[in-house]
Amino acid sequence: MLEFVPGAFSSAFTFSILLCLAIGTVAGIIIGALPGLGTVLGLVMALPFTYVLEPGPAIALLLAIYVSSIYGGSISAILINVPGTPQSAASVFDGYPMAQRGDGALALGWATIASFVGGVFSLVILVMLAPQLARFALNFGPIETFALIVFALTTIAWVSSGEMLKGLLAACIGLFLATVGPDAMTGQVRFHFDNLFLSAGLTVIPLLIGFFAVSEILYQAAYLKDVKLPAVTSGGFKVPPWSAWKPRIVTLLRSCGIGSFIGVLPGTGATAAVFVSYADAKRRAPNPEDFGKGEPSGLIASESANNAVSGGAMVPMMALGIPGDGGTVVLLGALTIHNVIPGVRLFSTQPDLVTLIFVLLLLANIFMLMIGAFGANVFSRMLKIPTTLLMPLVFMMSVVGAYAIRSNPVDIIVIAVFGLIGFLLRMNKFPPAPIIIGFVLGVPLEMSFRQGLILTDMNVLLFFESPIALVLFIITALIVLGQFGAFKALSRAVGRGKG
Amino acid sequence: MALSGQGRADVIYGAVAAMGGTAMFAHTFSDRYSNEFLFGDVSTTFVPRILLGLIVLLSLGLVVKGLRDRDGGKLPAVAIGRVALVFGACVLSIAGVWFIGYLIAMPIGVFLVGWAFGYPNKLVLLVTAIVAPLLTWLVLAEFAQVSFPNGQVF
Repeated sequence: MLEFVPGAFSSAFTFSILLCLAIGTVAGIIIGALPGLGTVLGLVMALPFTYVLEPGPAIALLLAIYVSSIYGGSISAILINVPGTPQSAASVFDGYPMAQRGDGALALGWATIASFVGGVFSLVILVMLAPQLARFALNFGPIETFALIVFALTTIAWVSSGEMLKGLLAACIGLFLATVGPDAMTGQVRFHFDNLFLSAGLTVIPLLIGFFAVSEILYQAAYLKDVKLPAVTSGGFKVPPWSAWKPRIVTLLRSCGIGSFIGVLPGTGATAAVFVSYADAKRRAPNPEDFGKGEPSGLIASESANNAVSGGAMVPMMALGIPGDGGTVVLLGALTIHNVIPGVRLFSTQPDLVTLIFVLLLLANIFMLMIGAFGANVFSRMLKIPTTLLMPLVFMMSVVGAYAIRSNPVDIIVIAVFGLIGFLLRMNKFPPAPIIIGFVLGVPLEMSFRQGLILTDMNVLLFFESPIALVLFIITALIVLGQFGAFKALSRAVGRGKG
Repeated sequence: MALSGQGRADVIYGAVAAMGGTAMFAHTFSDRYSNEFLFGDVSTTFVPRILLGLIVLLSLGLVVKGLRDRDGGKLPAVAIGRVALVFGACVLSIAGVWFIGYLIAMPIGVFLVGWAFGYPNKLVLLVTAIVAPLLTWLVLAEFAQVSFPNGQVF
């Protein structure tokens, strides 16, 4: 893969890609900083812009939004005590007290640099792990693929919701929605009820716009509180001195490791990573009593871990085609529009493109550092835009994004219908991500299962003769039975994060 | 003791999902599909039947959980009126986009959604409702040639 690096850099250093990186970074930071929006909504709103772009600039735009929106959440967490995204929930503990005592610029400095280190650390993990995983997965037949998807969906369903029953039900609904339309093996149309639109099957983009964006608009309307946000405390940007970094380097690296590891696990995401990382940093610190009162180590732990998830979460998405969270599912959908199909074959068929994605991720982190540092003052002023003005614009971009994908007006009705369903499900704590991930993995799951059954002459017991599949089935069974300690702890961490 | 809060919501959601799943499961036996023996062949309805079976089972599990959760926590208060207004504004805008096209309907839609949300400064909302859709149309439709809905009427 090394031989593609010079070519990837020369492809990346073109005007259109650098412009998309800059625009994506600015947009991502603003979207992350504004409470009520967030990574997934930011990516969904950017989709219509990517339709007309070449794959390189389109991927650059989306990666820049993905990376910088996670960081952007820290700005509002530090300056107004409201995390812009759930991933920044732990940054308020120490960031806001620092800003209150007049160290807002320094807190933003800690957060920006920690986010950058976290992002680059996870990129190294991605570069090292994803090609190996993809190479290993080349040996997978239909049975192993089926076992892997079942394992991933179970993990996502359980860990992402904190409530296994609702998570599993959501994933099954997503899997079922994928069966609407033509059968991938026989072409027979299913569940169309003589409706022309349904006979073509549902497509992922309108579905994810409905479930993520429109349901979010309704959710904000339902739970909008007429609370005046606190005044913005001192903004700006100040680089912390090396003497202050030195005793905190181990905390920084350990948090990067925690974030990257949790990111690799499907379904866990940045929210779990920050709480695990924050608790770990506090437990190991010589001054745990200072945590929550403006201790920079707490801010470092939170911010490095949440950005370290970005690269980690892309490992299963790129190597196996399994998105682990809402952000990567939108990325996967957007890549598919550009005929880039993440998964096992991507590394062998398009290694140049894979290398370009790695380089773009590195550049996205560098842009985040530079624009975050120089634009801190501007971004802090943006925090005054209220949700009540942002939501109509989210709706506008949702309509544009749903229609533009295939110029079918029915798609804008689909977003309203699934927006309402998504809202009703979210009201009762059903997570939207497993539905969409189930939908994305529905076809490969059905194909691999049916191919496996044909191969084994309908003998399901032969599925357990494959050692890889057997291991995956055992872990899946342990997760369902609630005996797998690591996932149990992660589920609790997610529950705490959502509470 | 009557069910309330989270427990009642789980029972309702579980019951609705179970009924929907059962109806769909029954539909897989309709004449339009080649009816093989239930699990005797890899038919086109084989996987959907398994999934629908799982949906029904998990939904019933949710009903049982809800029935047992008599002291379940209260659900947070929902501003149903505002949700209905916002959703109504969204549906109206979508209908507008369908019939009279994006350029005329979306400014009205943005204004309506913002108004339904309760944004206080109507002048700022009006300016945003005119400028944002127009700017999006200029950048995406005119400059980048992205397809925009023109409506059925015009």
